[in-house]
Amino acid sequence: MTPIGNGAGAREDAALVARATGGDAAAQRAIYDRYRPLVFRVARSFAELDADDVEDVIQESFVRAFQGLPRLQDPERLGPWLLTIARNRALTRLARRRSRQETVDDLRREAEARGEEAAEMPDPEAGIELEVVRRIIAELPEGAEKETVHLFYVEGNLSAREIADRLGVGKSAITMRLERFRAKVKRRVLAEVARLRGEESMVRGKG
Amino acid sequence: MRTPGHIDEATVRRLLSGEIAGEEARRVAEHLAEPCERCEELLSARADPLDGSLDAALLALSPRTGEPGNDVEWARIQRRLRPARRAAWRPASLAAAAAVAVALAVGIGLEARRRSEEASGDGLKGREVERVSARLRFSVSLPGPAGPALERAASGAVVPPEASLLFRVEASAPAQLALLRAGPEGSEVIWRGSSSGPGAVDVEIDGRPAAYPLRGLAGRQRFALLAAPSLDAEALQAARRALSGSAAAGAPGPAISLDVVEVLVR
Repeated sequence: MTPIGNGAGAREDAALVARATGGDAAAQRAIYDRYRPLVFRVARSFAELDADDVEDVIQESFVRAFQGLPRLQDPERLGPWLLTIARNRALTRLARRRSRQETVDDLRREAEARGEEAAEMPDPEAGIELEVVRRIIAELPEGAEKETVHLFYVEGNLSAREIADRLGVGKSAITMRLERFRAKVKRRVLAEVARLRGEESMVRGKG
Repeated sequence: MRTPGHIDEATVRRLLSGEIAGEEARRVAEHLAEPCERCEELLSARADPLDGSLDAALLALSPRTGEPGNDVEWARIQRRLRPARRAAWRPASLAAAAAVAVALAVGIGLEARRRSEEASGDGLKGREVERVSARLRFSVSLPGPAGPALERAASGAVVPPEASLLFRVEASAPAQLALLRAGPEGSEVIWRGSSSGPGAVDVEIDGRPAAYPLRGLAGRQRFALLAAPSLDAEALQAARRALSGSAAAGAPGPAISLDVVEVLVR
């Protein structure tokens, strides 16, 4: 499976965004149909969210996305942008529960407002190679984190909440494992971005 | 050996916006290439445009797709995309405002008794706990050739979609108030306000009684008043679930007064 935000799918997204921004309801529905399954899975990666929460996160994400479409400067990045919104909505909901609402809300608003910033970035991080992610999973030591990651991301059948039930551990433990793994991947991706930035400047320096 | 130099918010921001290059970029790359709990913690707490790409890659690991969309959910999204209902409140005319004051004042006792009797029916109506007790009254405004006609209404009224509703809240103590609407397509908070003490509070926008238009709505519409010394997002969420008939719905909270009226729009 190819990550979204690349290739022909990205070009189709751009066409849909152009139509949807003009108020074309069919294009909006097509965007919803295309990305709803992924938004659903992002929301289900937070074990503390119940079915109602997940449904709310999905709805809020699409409402925000459609309202924000005119601000999306690179329509080919629709998918990652929508998933960022979905993640932020889920985190905001969790933060409210944890009484850290104001701080986290501020962070999320800041990130969502930067929707156009993502489009302006050079491309090393635009399409994260699946191979990198697979390698990171393979390198994880055998144990609870690897098992959780495998169940959620590789098998993909169960929600984080269902994984908590299956493994007999608390919901927050599963969310924490998935978030810890995600942070590892993010660190590695950012390292790659930094490496490429360093190389780019070397090439420019020689040229 | 670990390289020194943990990243911070500013470094990540500058890196993603292309402001870091050369030797500095190489130092950051070298540091992040090795496990670092402190940096991972920062990255985990930080929301940035990289998140979407990251989730896209992670979700692409599995051939499984998530649950597809459905018409009901799509209808709810569309409903929320329409101009905000809060903005759809219309100022009622002065005559209507005066009329509603009279209409709502008459028969309050009778209606209160009826409400109380109904309270046991669905577990929602007239729920009263602790100090704040609150009631929701409403009138129906219908357009007519000589101006809008106003009539006090009771829960269960059948009203046409061209009607608007004007609400009044009676609270027994200082309280934060919220008015929610729930219909077949979803629920929303349509008004927030407060009472400074015992008495009536008209639902107003910009200091004038506001009429809530029913245009665009159909079927059973429930309007719920929540009143409590303090109303937070969790309480509103619980109320929305309860109104939507969610199986997992809990009560909004022990200190919250909840009163629900219902109209059938057709």
